[in-house]
Amino acid sequence: MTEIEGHSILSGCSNEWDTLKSPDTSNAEDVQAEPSASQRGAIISEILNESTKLERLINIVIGRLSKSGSFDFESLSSQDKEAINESPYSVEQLIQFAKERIFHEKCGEALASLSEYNTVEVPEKDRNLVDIVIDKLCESRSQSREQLRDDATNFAYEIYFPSVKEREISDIFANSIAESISDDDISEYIGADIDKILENPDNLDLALDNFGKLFNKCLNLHASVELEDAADVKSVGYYDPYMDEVKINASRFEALRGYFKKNLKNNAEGADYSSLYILASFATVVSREFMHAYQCAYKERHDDDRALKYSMNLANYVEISNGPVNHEAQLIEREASAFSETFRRKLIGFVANRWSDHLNNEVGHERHMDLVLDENKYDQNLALTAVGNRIFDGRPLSLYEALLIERNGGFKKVLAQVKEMNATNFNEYELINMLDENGGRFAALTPRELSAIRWMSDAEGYSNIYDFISFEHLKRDTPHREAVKIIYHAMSSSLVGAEDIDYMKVLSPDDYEVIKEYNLGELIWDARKWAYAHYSDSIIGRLSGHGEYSDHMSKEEFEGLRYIIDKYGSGEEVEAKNKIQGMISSIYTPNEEEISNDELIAARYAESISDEMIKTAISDLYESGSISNFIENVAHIVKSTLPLSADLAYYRISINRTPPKEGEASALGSCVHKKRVVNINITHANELSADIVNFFEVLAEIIAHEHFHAYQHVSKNHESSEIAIRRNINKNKYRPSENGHHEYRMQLIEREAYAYGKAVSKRFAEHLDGGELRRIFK
Amino acid sequence: MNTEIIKDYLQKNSSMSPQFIEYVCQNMAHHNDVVEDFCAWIRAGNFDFEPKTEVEGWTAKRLHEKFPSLSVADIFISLSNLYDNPESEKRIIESGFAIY
Repeated sequence: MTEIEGHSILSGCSNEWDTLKSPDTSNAEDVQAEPSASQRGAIISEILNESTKLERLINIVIGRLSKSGSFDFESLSSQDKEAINESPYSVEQLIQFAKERIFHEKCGEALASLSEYNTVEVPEKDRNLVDIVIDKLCESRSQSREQLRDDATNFAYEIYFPSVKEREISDIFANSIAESISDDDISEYIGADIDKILENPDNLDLALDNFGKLFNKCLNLHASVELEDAADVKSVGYYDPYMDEVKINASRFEALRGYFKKNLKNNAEGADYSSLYILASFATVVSREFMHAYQCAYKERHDDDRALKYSMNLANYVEISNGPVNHEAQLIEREASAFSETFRRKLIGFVANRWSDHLNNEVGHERHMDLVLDENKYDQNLALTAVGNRIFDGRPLSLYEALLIERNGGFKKVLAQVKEMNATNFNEYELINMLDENGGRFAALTPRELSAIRWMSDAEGYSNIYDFISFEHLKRDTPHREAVKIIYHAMSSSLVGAEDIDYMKVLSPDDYEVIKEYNLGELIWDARKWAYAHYSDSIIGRLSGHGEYSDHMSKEEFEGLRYIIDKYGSGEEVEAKNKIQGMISSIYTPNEEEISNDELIAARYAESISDEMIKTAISDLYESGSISNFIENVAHIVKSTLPLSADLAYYRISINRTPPKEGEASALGSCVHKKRVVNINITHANELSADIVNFFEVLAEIIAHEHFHAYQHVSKNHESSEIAIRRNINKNKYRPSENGHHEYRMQLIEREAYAYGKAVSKRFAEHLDGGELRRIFK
Repeated sequence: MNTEIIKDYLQKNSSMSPQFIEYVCQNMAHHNDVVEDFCAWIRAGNFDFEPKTEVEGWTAKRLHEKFPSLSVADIFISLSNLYDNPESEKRIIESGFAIY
């Protein structure tokens, strides 16, 4: 606050100040004894007035300190001097209050400005204040500025780029706080509410106060908690340190609740788990925000490194728009995640124990109790697969399945496993279309759409799914895409790095208008991804040792290279180079482990084809007797069950009947990506087949094999995972069969396709009926 | 020593990558009879030598007669694979070394 502001405000309040200066203590005692409503109001207003007056005086001092770094009473205006003289506080006291206030407000900023990881540009008017804080910190820690600078730098790295060990320390700290909440506490504060919520999730709102009481008691806090309807706010909850309030965003939360309520309607069997999941999700959100409240309270101590780190992190908070990975990696968020996760598990355990008792005493359901008592009795993988299928089908879960999920590491972990086993049912494209409709902004998505992304992210990992969606979105003709292209062209023609370009200067006013709508960091990242997509072949060529990777590199290649390096998170070109070389070796001369991994991944997709689909294709063959129909049906099955099925839908089948040359290994099929066509040579397939059953097995294998090549083509453009990069390298440096049949078969994309083709063929072989086929195709 | 002869031959006469040649020779070194037959072919330049290898009914000469377009290297790699992964390699041979 400036001196002028302080002066004007004070001058308008002099009458109130007079009344506060010498309060009548006898009256005050009377009021304390039996205050009426109006007297209570007067006392509160009196206290508020006094505190407002003090605030103003402190602000006068802070204003002076910020101007010159010291406080000279004589330099004040006569009105300010008068106000201070008439107050019950001495000048020294006011200076002390002001310094404490500055320390409280600027500690994090001061530390961040000292550290080498300097994200804070201290405004000119605050420089003196930050200096005061740094001096105070040096004094209290008995350190020189250099020593404090080193500490601040270390703090910054631990906050924003934590090592595995530091992450573990954060987890242990947060978990120990969550573990300190006993079952007795849960039972006392929310035990009754839990029963009501499990009965009807609408009762959740009523339990909010009790959740607040539980956390306040266990974490020694005094925060209030309430629902707030803020449809335009992205987060599900947040903590407001100024009001000491935990806010739960009702709109966002309702989306989650809606999903499970729908399940409740459809199937009463899953009611228990649906309600439990709503309860657990709610507890996760509330506990997470209370951990932030705890961190804010802890930072006030300022007497240990953890408190200083909290100050620094809160003053330099990484917003989620900077990338969910960075956001989640920072200290206060990873602690909050660990705390809420542990509390969630505690709560689930608490409820599961109640259920076990319930089942044992009242229902006596042997199957359930066996599971609870002897976890080795069931094949958990099979159970998980069944559970996973139910999740994907959108059906609710039974209590039996719910317990299995908890026993296997919780919902997120199971979902991730299920996704890996059956990576087929996510409709990313729907979300991309939604992004198109609102100009590529995640913030503009509805709660349901964001929940869907969150849902996928749980299984896929934030970065992958966000990358995938944003990359897909790049390909659409949208304002966002235009902005990325503008940045791409600017960075291509600039001599300096993308971050150092003064875009306002180099761009035309019209172009600048387009880009300023977006986050510049995200645009640069997308533009680098764009460069990578266009120059991946030459970049990888350079990185793999075919050519000097840093000399004569074009600006576009260099920016694409930055994408790879950032993607690996190493920050080092040499490491990226080593990694690419490792990938190349695993493509062409894999070791046994790599071979079996690649084959396993490919073969797993075959398992996601349902028996019903296969039976339908075969019964259609029996009915129509048409081989072409069979080929079309198999193609449809593999296209719809492989990931990225929407892109694969564009491929069509072409049947070739050219007989192979004598003694030569001719192609049974091929995939021409540019024409989006899969060719199948049925004459050759027939010649290679031992009998009619084998003929259809071979057909299924070729169709699956070639469509897997199509999937490899498509996936290399969609994914930024290591396997996608390896497929990309392989596609660019394909070893044809002239190099030798075995070398050809050894390369990644062929062994993947081979494994998938064989696995699909095996699935069909299980259902083909030789007798029936021989009857039809005599 | 014999694998060095094979390595030298493949480096000079095939388009295989050095890493793959290394991989092939390492695998083949486990089967002396295959290595000796390969060396015999290098010396003679044809398949009219007394074969030491017969796996699953296949010799180098039989593979060559059945699949004349198959490279010499592939013939001996196949024999080696018939020892290591008989089921998988038999399927490949049955398919006529078909290219997908």
